[in-house]
Amino acid sequence: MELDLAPIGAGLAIGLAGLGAGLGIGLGVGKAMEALGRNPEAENAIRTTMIIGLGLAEAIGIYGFLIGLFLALGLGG
Amino acid sequence: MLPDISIQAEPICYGCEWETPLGIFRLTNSLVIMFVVMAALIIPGLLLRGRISAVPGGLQNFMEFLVETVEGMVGPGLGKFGPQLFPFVATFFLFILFANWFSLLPLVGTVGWIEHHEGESVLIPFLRPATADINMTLALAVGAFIIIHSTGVRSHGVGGHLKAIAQSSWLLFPIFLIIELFVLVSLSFRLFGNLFAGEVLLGISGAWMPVIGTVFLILELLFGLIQAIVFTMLTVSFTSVAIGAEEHH
Repeated sequence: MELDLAPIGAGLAIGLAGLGAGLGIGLGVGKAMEALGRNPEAENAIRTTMIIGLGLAEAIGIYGFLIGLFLALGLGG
Repeated sequence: MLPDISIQAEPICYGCEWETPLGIFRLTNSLVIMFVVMAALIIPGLLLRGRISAVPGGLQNFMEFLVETVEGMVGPGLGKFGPQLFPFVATFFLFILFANWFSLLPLVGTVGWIEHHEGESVLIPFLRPATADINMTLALAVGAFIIIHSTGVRSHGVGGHLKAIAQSSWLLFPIFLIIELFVLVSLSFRLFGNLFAGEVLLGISGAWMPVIGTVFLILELLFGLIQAIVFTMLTVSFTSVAIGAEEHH
């Protein structure tokens, strides 16, 4: 029986990467909210740092998405 | 029919490929958008040259608003290299922002030729967002990389900068070097991935207009802005790390 494993790999790639990215972003924003609640004056610094952290965490999800896309489209990734 | 989803940007005319010493140069559909974005940014600058007045009129007001937004973001991050590096950082932000938002214009990614490959017809678009091309984002990331490391070398000298990367553990120096090089990869792939995904999404969501397609359009607007902000602020953060933490008391 011939199984084309590329679509399964694509699904796994985006699924697991989404899990990691979602956890990272959710925890990051949650902690930022906590810090904001404790210290409302540092709002600017907290927001800036949070955006940078979100950019880094989201990139990991994007890597997974790209690999999934390569696999699903058969581009030889 | 669905637009042709290809990672590589397609040339817009047959035979528009030239051999250069560094490889093959193709006039691709994303290069065209890049020239349009450059014109949109450079022409107002040229028009305003020598005509700066104390009370700004319409165009000057708009340009000052853009520059002040970037200044607000960058803040004290650049230390004493601020005035020198600010044009680069502002150019990164404005160029990436405009290139991202140009992908939302009506004709981009949807109008093009129909070619027949393997028995089915695919659509090769005329225009493709500039930053959805991995070459473009890699070029931007290389520029940011050069800024970060040249600033580090300028503040500490070559040996000092290498010592700062190694963080006083010479055994692990190759690993830290690879981490630094990974910054290049991550910057370029973050921007490319976000925009390429957005372009694929927009191309497909044309079938789901009006409600869901509009939601995706607004999402792409937001994401374009966020990616420009993230790229610029990451560059500024890495630069301030390279300068050293002297200004944090």
